[in-house]
Amino acid sequence: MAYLRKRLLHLIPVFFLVTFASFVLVNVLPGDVVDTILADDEAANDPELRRQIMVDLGLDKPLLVRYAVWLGELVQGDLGRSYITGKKISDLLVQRIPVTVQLMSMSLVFALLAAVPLGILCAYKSNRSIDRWISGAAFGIVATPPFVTSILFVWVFAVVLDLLPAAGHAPMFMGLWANMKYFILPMLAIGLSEVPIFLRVLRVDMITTLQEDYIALARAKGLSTSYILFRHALRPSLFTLITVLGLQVGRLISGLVIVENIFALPGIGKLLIDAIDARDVLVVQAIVTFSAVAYVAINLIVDILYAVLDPRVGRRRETV
Amino acid sequence: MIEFYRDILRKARNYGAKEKRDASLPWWARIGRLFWFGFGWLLVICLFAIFANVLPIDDPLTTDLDNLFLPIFSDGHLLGTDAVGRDMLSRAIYGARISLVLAFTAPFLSLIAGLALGLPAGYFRGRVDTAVSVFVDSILAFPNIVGVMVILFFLGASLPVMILALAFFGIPAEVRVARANTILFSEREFILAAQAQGASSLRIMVRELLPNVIVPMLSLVLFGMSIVIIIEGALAFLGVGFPPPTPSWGKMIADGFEDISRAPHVTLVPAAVMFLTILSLNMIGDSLRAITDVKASTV
Repeated sequence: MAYLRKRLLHLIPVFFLVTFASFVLVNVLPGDVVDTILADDEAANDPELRRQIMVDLGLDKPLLVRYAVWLGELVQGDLGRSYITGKKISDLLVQRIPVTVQLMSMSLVFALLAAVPLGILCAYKSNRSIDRWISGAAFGIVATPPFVTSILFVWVFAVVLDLLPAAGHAPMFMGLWANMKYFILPMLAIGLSEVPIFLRVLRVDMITTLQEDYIALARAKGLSTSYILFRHALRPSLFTLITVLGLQVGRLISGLVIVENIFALPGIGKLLIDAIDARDVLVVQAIVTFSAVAYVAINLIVDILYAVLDPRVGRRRETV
Repeated sequence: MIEFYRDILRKARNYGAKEKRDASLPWWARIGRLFWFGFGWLLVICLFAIFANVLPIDDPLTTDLDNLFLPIFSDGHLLGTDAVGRDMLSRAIYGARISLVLAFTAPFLSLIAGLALGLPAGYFRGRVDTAVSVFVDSILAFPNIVGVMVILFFLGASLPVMILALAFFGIPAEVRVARANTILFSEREFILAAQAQGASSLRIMVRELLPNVIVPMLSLVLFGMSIVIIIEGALAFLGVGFPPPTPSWGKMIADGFEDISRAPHVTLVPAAVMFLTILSLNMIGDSLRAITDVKASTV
């Protein structure tokens, strides 16, 4: 528990720094914030509206006071209103989150389903030719960013083979397959980029585990290889992988932004790019804040999971 | 991501039966074929990018509406032409410029910042270490592509802003490696000797630790270069961030993507060029790490 307390104490300043950084973004806009918000708007010269925006953003008060007010609203889930559409930003996010979460979880599940068996195989056959081939392929995947993978998939599966739609989205109520078929290519594009990372982490831990005495004992007892690999060796080899899962969230979000835009999936990443195109300052700020806080929260959960799963490990995570 | 690779690959190597490279071979043979493949490709790209103006290639911006979507190996257009008849080879070469400018600046700034933060964190530990790790974890909370995109949005898209933003998001990986290696070397006798002689902390860090710590960090710079190229490509592909006056690989891929059913080569050619470049940087980084690791273990 001392470990958990330490992590918590660590994440509190991180939380404040992260939210402060997001908050400051709106305040570092070159030129007048109000001009940026009202860019190209015929209402730009309306003094009443200008004053309203100033008050909304609290620009008449000192920076730290404004931060405190903003943070207070943030904690209550109030992210303000978009200046372009007038909609509540929290509502926008709530609409978009299910798509992003669905894509993210599908990608993670795919990545794990691919990486775990391959990682076990590579560890079991370490430095044999199959291991080298898989590791070589992983090296190639690392050099292919998700947007290039997406393009290749669109070309192969949507254009050449005409199996899956190239872009679009269908809500769940239109049927499971109707919904899923739009998610398959994005899932593969994001999931595939995570596979090499999970694979390598698991492979290394697994190789260490396989040298333990109790594995030799299990072998001596005559247990089957697959039983030893999956039931004896896998569990103690998973800890670094779990840590990496938490740390990969940032990378995943970057991938989501790109892939959602390529496949026109209406998630948070699409919202971000649309907001940037529309110069919707507060929406951009809200999404950045949301993703950073989500990262901190997910890592806190991973920390808790970690301490719960294996009380021995306090120091192990720090070495990663 | 990188720091994992580093650590993991090093661990893996210790278990590995990866054939021991014969110490009697000259260094260029010991460093391996992958290094020279990567180095060769990168050299070609760099030379083309530098001498793009004097090479006998078409102007990257000149359109030719009579020759749209020419396939690869067309007469006069080695890599074909795009939707408005611009020469793909020329665009790929000019497009390398922006990627290379970023790749040869941002990761080195990250390296300097990483050393400035990682050395004190690893040497002093305690509160300095805590402060640095809070800072680093805060950077990590912002996904790098999103972070750079948003900084460009709020601060205005220009080359210096882009370099600094990319450098900023490269800091965490460098700090971690600098810190870990500083901790490792701080326990060595030569540091104790320096301390016994009354050397100041600053002198120990700069004169004793820095030369040792910087070696394993150089391969990280190469991975940083490939990440920078990926981020620039992704931003250009999405049409946000830096608006380049000259073509960029990401922009080319995005332009070609619209016509992928008609002429897939327009998007696949720049994608392949980008892939090879990233692959080369990773190969060089990997080979350098293999070499520098050997050195670190025999010091």
